[in-house]
Amino acid sequence: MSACYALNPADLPALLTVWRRNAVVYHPRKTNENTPRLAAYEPLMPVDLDYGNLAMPPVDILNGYQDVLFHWKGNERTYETRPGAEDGRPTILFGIRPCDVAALSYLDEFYLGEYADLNYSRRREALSVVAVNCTTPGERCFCAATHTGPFARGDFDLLLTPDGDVCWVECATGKGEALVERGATFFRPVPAADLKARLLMLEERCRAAFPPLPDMSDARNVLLRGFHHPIWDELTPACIACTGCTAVCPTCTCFQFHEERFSAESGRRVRVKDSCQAPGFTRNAGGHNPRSKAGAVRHRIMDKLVYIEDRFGKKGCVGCGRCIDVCPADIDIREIVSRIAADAPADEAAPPVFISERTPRRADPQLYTPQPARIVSISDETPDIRRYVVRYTDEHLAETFRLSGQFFMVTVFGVGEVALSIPFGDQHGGEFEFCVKKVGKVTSALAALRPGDVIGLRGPYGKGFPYRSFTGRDVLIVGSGVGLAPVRTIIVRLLQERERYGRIAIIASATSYEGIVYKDDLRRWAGEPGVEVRYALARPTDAVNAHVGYINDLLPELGFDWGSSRAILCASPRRIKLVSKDLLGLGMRPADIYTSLETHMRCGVGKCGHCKVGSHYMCLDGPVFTYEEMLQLPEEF
Amino acid sequence: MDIRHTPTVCPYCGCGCGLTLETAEGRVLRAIPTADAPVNRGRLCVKGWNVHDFVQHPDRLTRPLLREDRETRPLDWESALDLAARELHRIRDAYGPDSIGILTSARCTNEENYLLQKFARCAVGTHNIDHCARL
Amino acid sequence: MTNPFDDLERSDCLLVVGSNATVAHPMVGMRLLRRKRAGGFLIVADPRRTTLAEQADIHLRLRPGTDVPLFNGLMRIIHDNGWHNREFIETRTENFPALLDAIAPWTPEATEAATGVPRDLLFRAAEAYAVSAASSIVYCLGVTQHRCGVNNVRVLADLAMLCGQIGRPGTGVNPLRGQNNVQGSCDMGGLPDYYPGYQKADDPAVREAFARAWGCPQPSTPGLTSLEMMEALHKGTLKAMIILGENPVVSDPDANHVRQALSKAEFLLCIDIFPTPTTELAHLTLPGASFAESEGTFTNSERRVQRVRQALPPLAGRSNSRVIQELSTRMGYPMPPDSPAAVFDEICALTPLLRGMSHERLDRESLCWPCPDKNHPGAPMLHADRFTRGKGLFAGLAHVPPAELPDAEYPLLLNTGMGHSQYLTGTMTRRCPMLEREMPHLEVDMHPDDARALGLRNGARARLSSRRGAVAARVHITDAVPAGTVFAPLHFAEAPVNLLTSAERDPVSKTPEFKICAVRVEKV
Repeated sequence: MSACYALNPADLPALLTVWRRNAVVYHPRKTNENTPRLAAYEPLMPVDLDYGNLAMPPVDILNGYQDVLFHWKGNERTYETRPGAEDGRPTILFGIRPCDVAALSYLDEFYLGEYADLNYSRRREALSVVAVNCTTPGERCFCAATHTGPFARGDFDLLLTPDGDVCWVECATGKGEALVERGATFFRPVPAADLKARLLMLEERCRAAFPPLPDMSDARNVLLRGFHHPIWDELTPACIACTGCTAVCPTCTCFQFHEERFSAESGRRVRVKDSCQAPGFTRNAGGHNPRSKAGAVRHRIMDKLVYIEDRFGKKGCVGCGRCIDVCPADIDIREIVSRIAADAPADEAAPPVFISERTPRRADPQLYTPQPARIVSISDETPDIRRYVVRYTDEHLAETFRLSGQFFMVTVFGVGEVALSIPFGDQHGGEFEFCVKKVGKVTSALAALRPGDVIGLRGPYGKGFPYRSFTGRDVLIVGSGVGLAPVRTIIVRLLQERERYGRIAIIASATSYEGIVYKDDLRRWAGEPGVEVRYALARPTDAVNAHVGYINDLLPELGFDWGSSRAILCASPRRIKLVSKDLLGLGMRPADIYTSLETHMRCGVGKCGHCKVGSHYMCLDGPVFTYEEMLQLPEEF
Repeated sequence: MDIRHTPTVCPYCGCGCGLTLETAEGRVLRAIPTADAPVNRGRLCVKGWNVHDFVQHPDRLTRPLLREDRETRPLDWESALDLAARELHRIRDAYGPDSIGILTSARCTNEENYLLQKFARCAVGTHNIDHCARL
Repeated sequence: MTNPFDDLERSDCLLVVGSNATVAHPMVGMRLLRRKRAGGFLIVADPRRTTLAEQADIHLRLRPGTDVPLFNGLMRIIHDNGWHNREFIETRTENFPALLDAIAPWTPEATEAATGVPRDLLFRAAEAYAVSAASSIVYCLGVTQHRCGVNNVRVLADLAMLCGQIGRPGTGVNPLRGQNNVQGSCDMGGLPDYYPGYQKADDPAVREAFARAWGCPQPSTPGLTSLEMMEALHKGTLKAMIILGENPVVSDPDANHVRQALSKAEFLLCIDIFPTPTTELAHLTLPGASFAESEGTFTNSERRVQRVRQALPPLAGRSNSRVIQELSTRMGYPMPPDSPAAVFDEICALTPLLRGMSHERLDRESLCWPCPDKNHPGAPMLHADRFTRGKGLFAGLAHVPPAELPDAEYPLLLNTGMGHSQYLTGTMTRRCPMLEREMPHLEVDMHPDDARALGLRNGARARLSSRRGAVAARVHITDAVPAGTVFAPLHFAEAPVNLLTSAERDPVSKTPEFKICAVRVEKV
């Protein structure tokens, strides 16, 4: 508490009118439906501090509603792009409650950590927060149980506490001081020490007014133990996937990209709010959906009370109760915790969950804006997989960019964007390549392009395989169908430094030999000393000596020193599990098996939420995981 | 942004949920349920929560369009209304009022429906007015 | 509806017929499921295993098109067991003997044979509906979109009257309206045979009254229904059409037929907010104002009149009302540019059902009609003491089988309806990014047995065809549809399912038989 003041509540209209000269001031105002909603302050409007809580959280003001990410213009031969972020206008959020202040604390961590979101940060910098402590709890409020209220503890600029005919003010930041200065005549300094006891008493009085609250102090462990609790299946049928809970949640941030086309040669990409409660949220282009309907209901609750806190160290559920208010199915996050807690024995330990380490802040000034790149050549790799060689149109970028990571986000302008693994190494000569299988809208549009056409690229993103740590080991590489693409570079690198590693075995698998990618490479690699290339096909072929059957059948005869071997598996999650099981049986350790879980990545930078599995973002923390880590993820990939 | 809230009624199914449109700078920012609406009491379905997106979709028709042969060309309002009246006049004079049929809309307001059936029965002079309630 | 939505939560037994309410009427679905959770008994009659059916105490999985046998069968069980309400029948109804004649053939055995619903379920459902203190029937287009749609509705009315489950809180026969203002456009006289407030157009006194009120002689020749208009276009007797905010090329059955009809018009004027397959045929298209740009009222399924308020100015500069007014003035019948509030006052003055309403009053409270005067609180519940005609008339109905049943050439039965995140012809919902992501293309639900027989995998591309047309679709394998039946939603202009549906209609209501036609599915 750097400084404290007293304010006469009757002066608030005059104060807000003064502040309004240099900033847009939003304040809670009862609309004609008698519901408090944020509205722009007009001079000398009455200011009521007893408004309950805002029906909608302020998060969308910071999200920018339909936020423009970038503009483009041009045609297949040439495109120009320009980021959409605009400087934020000075804005004062007056009257947000401690629950929403706690939410803001998480939003800052989420948007500004790792890849900092430019659009958010510009708006956030321009924003001052004048919070108001709660003196009476609302009907569905439970912030006292989530420890995010009824009084705010930080992350505000100014904090008001109404106390009869006086309003106490705590100032926490330079922005707060600036606000006090601009309305100096209204603020009377008071000693912080005097105020402390009074505030504590007021807070206690409010706490005492709460209806009985569930004990949510152990919610994390309770929910982890209750992952398979029958309650999820009981709740789910009533859920009509209205997505209301995520629309009103102050910590919900998921979005979807949307292409707006103004003409054949211009358009922009905006982000619009998305919801993990919509069944299509995790469905991939091929129609497969790794998360069931019950899984979606569970994901929201677990995210709010487990995953967000595990990853960001901030509260994901701030106890505002809005999701309970809007739910047509009466799904109540408090009741879920209480019921599972009552059913799950408290002495039972929560199952182990690994937590990815967050990488430090990464700067990317054009986070959502693709860079134009030209298609140099296209070749048919298999009947339904094509190989594209591309080069940035910006020559400087083409020469200097670093290839480190696992995938690129590839844009077809006006159509959309898709994540594609790129088989690259750190030597690229300005050109690199990727393999595409036509499954959805964007990959179909890619298939219609010709050499010379321009696409957009963002990236590279994600963590790659740590192949350098394989020194001295036998290495098994399994690639099923297009799954061989992400590991091709690894193979090339291993072979370049052949002497560093033990034996190398490559198993390529597909339904038929036609479905195998890199046929020529495989044939050439088979000729290298100490390298074994095997094929596992569903249909027999005359082209190579192939095993007709499963990958698993080939493992025992490789004769590896399994206890010290390393394996890379790129296949469907089901196949990964089956192969891993056998490898463990042969003596491998789960931490030595690497897999790539490329599930429904959309933004590539850990913001859109589609690829979040447990507390992990596949695009940031993966897509490469060890089998040991994979086993600790919820089965939603 | 001067955010304004306008409570109104959802344009989709026959439930008639109360929703409030949040607007600023000539755009609908989002649709939110009206807290005290008798039908939905502060709730909405997924279509209602997303209703704002179509209102300002770039595909919206913004000018009268005249189709001539295979081409369409924009017209100003006055010429378009003159042309419509001229054509309807011509057809009514040539074939009688019952040669004109009118489909009103279950999507439009009562006031608009009322005016259109009045138009049919007075301006055209026919009972050929119907809508798709049968579907 | 005879009863308000909130009343559903006062029912002890809910009988839901042909309604996928959690998808098509979510706020009704919410109430049904909430009542069920609170101990209400839920019976669902639907060939498909919908979310509601999954939750139901009893799912009557009838063969499509066997509603009349099913409910006649239930009534016979009720009567045979003495569960009917003798007092109600005596004091409030007439023509009871006709009902007894009609249900006589429908023994439990015959009903099971016709509908495929096991006898024990019939008994349990009949008892629950009849003996519960308050039972409510909720139905939707699964009942009406048949060639015998009116019979299907009347058989439900017979059932309610037989058990006296009408006119009290938590009872009633409650149709759910498919569109925001179907109720209102009927109320407003958007019908060839009625003036506003259901005043008969063939009554000279009514015509005279409107002629005086409107200062314009009224036509005496009967008007055409939309279906008859399409026929008249084909015949050449109808020369011009004005279409406001509708998309018949996608929404009407036998779409090719509709397209040809509209193409024959000498002048087609469309008013719409988006280009649609219908506006493509128009000679002149005027840009419409969306609900967000309009001032006025909508009337929901409960007959509740609610205020629609303008949040944005009309995108194209003119409100729909203003366009109609200006066109009318140009046509020689001057309509002053009255505000929607003034127009509504005119409506209320001419419509006894709404006489007590005004925008000003509706700004404070929504009202269910009838509301005859300024102090009347509106009437959420109908038929409390008497039916509109006095005594309730039992219909006593015979079974009319569907017009087109599967055969060797078209071996599957096509049922149509709505999906979770799209609405009707998709003109609006398909332009909402999240909704479009949820359902981007036509998926046809197919039973695993049928899919296996046709060698189709989940997600496979297929061709769905009937005697009238064909569309491309992807196969979604689910046992929510019964074997032998496929289900397809109608939202997709590029794959309009109404190319397939038959133009067979109910002879009275003219509602098309959207729920049943014969199709085949082929791998592509």
